[in-house]
Amino acid sequence: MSHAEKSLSGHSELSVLINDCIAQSRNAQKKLYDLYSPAAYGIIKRYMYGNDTAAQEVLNDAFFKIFTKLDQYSFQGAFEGWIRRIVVNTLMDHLRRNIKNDQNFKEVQPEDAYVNSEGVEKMSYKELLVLVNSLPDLQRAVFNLFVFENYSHKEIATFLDINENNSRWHLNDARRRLKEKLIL
Amino acid sequence: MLNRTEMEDQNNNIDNLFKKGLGNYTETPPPQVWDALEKRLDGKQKKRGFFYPWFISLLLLSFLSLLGGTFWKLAMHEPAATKSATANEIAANTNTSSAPNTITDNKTADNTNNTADNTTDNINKPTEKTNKASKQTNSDKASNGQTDKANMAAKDGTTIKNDTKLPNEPSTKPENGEEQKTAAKEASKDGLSAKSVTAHAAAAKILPAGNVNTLNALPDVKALAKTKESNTVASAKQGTIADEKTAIETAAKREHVSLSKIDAGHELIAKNDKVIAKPVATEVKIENTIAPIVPAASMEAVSTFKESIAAGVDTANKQKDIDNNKPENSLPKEAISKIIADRLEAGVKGGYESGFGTNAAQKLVGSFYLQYKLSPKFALMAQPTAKIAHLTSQTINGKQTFYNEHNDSNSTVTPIAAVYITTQEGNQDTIGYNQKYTFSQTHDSIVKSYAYGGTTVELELPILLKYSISDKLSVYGGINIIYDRTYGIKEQTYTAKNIAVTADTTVQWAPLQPSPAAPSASSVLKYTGTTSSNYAGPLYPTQSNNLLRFGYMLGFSYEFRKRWLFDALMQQGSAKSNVQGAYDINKPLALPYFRVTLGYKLGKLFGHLK
Repeated sequence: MSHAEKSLSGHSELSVLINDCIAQSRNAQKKLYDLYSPAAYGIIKRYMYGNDTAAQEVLNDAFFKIFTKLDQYSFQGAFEGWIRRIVVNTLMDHLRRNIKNDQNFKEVQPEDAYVNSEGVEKMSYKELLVLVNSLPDLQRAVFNLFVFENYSHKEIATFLDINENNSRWHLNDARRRLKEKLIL
Repeated sequence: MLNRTEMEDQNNNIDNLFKKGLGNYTETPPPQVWDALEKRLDGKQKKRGFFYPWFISLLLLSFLSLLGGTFWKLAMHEPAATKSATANEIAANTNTSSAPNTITDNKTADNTNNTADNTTDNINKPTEKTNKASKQTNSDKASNGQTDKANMAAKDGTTIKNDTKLPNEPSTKPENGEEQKTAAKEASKDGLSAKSVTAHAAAAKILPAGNVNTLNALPDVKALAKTKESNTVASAKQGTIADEKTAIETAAKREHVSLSKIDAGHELIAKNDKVIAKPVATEVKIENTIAPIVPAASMEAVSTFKESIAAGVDTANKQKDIDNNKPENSLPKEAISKIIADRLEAGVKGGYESGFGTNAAQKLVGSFYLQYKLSPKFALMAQPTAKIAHLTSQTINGKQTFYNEHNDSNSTVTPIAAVYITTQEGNQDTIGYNQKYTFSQTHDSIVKSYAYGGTTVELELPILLKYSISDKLSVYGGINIIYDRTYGIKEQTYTAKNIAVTADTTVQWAPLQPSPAAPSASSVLKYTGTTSSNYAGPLYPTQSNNLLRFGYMLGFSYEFRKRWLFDALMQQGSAKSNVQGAYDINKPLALPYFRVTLGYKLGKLFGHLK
């Protein structure tokens, strides 16, 4: 059970909250937002660490979609999964737009991108985020989708408007880059 | 140097490492995100309410045009209903100030209802009281006074007593006093005549143009009123008979009225042989005297009128009836039925409806309509309709891909070959060994995709105001209440069976190292999507929302071959958007639709009312 769902005493309480949100109760919406936005923002940050404005914009879009589409949630399957899907879809819309505008795969390597650490367990979230965000945009997106969202290369290809082999290449290249920085 | 398996392990390690480290990463967003979101949600709610003012104003517009139509009718001097002779006669009386002039053998008080210029006074010498009453009622405000009186007569249930008391107090012994059979008759010695005249006047005065049909229902009236032009002369005749008192009739006439037109009046008079009431055509021109219209009163007045005529023929019975009459009983039921039946029209329509664009459904339409005529030009129409709507499937975004692998893998191993492996690290070449493994296996690929569309039933109830431009052509518009449901999203499953997949992998190792174990087939054979056991139901929720919606309808109707109707109209209903897979599946509901129908008037459907 996720962190958010733990905060609600049971499934029925979640149902009540969702129904209140559908009924446009602002308090309920705020509660739902407070419960799920940290996880959503965490996902978004993995893709766009260091660009807070864009991350907040995506979060805003995602929750706007969540609140306007909440009446379509069928109460089948985990609510968090449903939210996650909307967040990732929103992110992808965003990335598609921005990656298209920036096809030159520029390398972003912040100063602290090199992590000299013995074990990943000892690394902070921030260090890991910095590492992931040291990847070029497209590689970061592919890596995130593959590793965290468990999408296949074919799905990633569809999502990002690239072909499947490109997706594979980006993933391997992302891994290689990360390895470099970890093993150094 | 790492071999390929080790590299893969390391790949997995890296993946797992990050997954573990960042998979549950959460971060509380700054508060301004919620503030911005809240504003955005507020904006959306406002937008949602957009339809309601629009709907209310449409409703208001319908009612205003209805009212406007009625007033327009009233304001017209010449009623639009001049096509019907009877209607014409009566309607014209609305503009008429009638001057009943009675000549009686028995010196009965002459009941002169009115003349604008007091013609009555010059012509007749009525009894004082009667005259007073007449004067009071008629002298200055001919039409208004009369109408008031008529209304009063009507409202008071048209009892003899009321009317009698006005022009002739019971204390005033009529000179023609003959034996009376009933107390009622006594009261009506003069009163009957007074009453009938009043009633006639009432009938003549207060019938609004729109009520012409009311008088159609009363054949007696036809003989009693004839008019042609706007300047009118009304002539009322009254007869009193030695043994029975009767009011004969009031004939309202126009300037050029011919006496022959009130023959029926003469006949009635002739029956009451002792009295000969001559219709006197007094030329009185009154302009713009439009009687206020009180439909209820007019109906009662009509009944009074009718009864009073009947009383002229058979006073004894009628007097009793009239005396006993309560206001609500005074209108004959048949008359009401006839009036309603005459104004009702019903029929059926069938046709086809569609809109523009691929999102438009195609609909077969069947309607029944019921129309009630408010005036010769305006009618209210209800048209309950059932439609069978079909929307061709519209694909929406989103699909789920699964595979179902068969356990029939084969593998082949190619001989070891030494190759140069070029890595991208520092552009260095590294030497190593390659061992190639090739695996093949069959599987089923299952793709679930989604589309909305299909066939539904729609019900609608438009309430329309119809305006006749000509005999055959009319236009209409109004509000539409629609009941239907969202087009469902269907999951479509495409299964490709027994697809053979071949994949190879190369295991690499550095010289002098032992060769690694062969990889497993499952690590090499990769399939699109996830295994079919992961299927957890459709991507989109089932759409089964029934919707009650409002809309508008505008159209025209053309009548041909007496009973046939051709209609063309457009209608559009509101529909809240319902975005699924980047498509608004309610769009087909919100589109404007265009309809053509062929209709047939059912004439006798309400025959039993007549």
